[in-house]
Amino acid sequence: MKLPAWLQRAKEVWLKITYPIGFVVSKVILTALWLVVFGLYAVALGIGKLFSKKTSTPQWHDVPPDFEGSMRRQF
Amino acid sequence: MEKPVYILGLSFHYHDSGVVLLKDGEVLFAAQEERYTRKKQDERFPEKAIDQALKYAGITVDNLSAIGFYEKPLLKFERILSTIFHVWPRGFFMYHRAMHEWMLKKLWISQEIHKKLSYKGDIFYVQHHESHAASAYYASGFPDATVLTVDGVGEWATTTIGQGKGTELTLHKEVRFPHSLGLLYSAITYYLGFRVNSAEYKVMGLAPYGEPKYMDQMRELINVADDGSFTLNMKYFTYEYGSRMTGRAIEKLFGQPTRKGESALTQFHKDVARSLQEITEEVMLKMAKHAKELCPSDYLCLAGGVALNCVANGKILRSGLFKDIFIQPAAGDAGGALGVALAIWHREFNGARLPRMSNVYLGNEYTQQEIEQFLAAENMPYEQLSDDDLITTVAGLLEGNNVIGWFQGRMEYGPRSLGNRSIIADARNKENWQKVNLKIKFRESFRPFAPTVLEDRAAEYFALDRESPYMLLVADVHPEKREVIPAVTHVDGSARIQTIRRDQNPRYYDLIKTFADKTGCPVIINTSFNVRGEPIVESPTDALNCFLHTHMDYLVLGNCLLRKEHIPADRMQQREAYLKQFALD
Repeated sequence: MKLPAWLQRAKEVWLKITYPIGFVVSKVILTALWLVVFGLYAVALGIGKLFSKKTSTPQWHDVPPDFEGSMRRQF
Repeated sequence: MEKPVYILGLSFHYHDSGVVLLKDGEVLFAAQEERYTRKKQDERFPEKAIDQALKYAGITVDNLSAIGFYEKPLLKFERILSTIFHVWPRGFFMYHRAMHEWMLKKLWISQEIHKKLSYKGDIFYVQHHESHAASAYYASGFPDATVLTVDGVGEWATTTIGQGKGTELTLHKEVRFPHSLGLLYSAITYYLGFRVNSAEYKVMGLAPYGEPKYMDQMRELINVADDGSFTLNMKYFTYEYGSRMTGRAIEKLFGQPTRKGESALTQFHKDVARSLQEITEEVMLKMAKHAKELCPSDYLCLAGGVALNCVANGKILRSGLFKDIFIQPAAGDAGGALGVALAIWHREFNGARLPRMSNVYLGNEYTQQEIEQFLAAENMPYEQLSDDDLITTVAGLLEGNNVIGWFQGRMEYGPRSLGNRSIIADARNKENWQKVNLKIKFRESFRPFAPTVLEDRAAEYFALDRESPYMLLVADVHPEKREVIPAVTHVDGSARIQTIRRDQNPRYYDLIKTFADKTGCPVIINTSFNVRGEPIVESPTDALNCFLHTHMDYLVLGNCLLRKEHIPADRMQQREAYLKQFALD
């Protein structure tokens, strides 16, 4: 769809300023997530660790078993 | 006639993007993206390498039966998120960086592949260490093997032990992040002022200059059990949450600050490097021993970035634990592309095992006509020689202190130059060590050079009883030969050896054989054809640029010989500008 010249110009200006807006907004959202979501979960994990037995003994872990169709999955 | 099965293996978005194309299970083409973009360790989507691969095979994307990616992005993202939780409230800036990278790029692998290649078929994923294991085991030719993979980190695993038998390959045990031998090595590399993920081999080369005086400190950093498992003392490492590998705690431990890059190296740094190398070898040996107990076999396959530690590899070989070992030449992340492709071939297509990977000359090549057209377009004076005259002439030029750029055939896959994109010189001339280091490669003077030796005469010069075609084994130079080949004898009497047979690389073999017939010495210096910070040359253009802007004496492109004395002076004015392009590694 071909825009009228004035609208095309407005679109170009808008696209130029959306990048810095997006940059700032994404930083704000990510920081809020970090504080609230990650922070709360991290604190809960930390409290849980207080009650669990700490081990820093070297050990080999079992590799989780493969499953059907695993190669088509990103996990 | 059945349609051939083309499988494209890809690795990208971490470091060392690579591409491998299989045809009915055989490697048709393999290359790293950095060679085409001229950006060292280029991690971007390997568009150029893919183009070259398809062009070489004479196919399009529509002919591909499958594409594979060398790791599991969602599993890796799980580890990233888990680490953020674990280190909170540290790691704020790392969190932001990681979220941007993952949200914008790394979570969209499938979409990126489909879009950039206009590919509509299936994409397969294997775990990072499975890729490494597959790249080693399936290329080894062994009927069965113990498989050991050791690197920085994949998704969660940093080290794995597995077993290969026939077409089956299963990983059984792993050590998990943040405990990582590869990251320990990288952390000390950082502490010693070198570039991480790039200069670990320099630390390995520095180690013989030192004494293992800091073993107590090393044991404070890493707790190793008898079975080779280990934990790192994370209070000394900051890579979980910071942009640096280590901080003040390690400086306090060793009593010295982190070395600034390019500043003078002292005996302290050499001793730390040596201590690190000792502990790494200890861990690798213990892991190999435990791996054999868990997954018995006469054969060992090694892969992962730490498998490039050829000093440790040599120790494993000499331990006698295994009859033979195979180390994937592209042991780093670029080799993941090979691993995933081979895994798809065997697991999804029930492909048969193929013989051992016989060489790594798997990139693109340039015809004699293309080379001559290029030189004509550049107005470069050259002599065109017949095959026999070329060998005789260059073997004669090799004597003494001439340094020759040697560009032949298909480009090597992996980090080493093995005779097709090499700078070669006379190993008997001690001056060549300094000349090549300082005037050609512009790199640190302590760094040793590696030899190529005719395989049937290797035992005369080196304590090596088997082939070493990929320069992945270190062995001692016999004491009586150290003065004969001083330019490739490291300070501790060792050398990182490439053996060559005629069936592996006829022209390179003939050159060294002719040189040996002339001089009695079957050993030459072989170093990669690049300057410091530059990827190994890929094209005649790259080779000519390197030749013009260094003190190299001769350049051989195919059957064309260029002599520096005949090059117009105005073509050699831009050395500083040329070298500035490449960030120091």
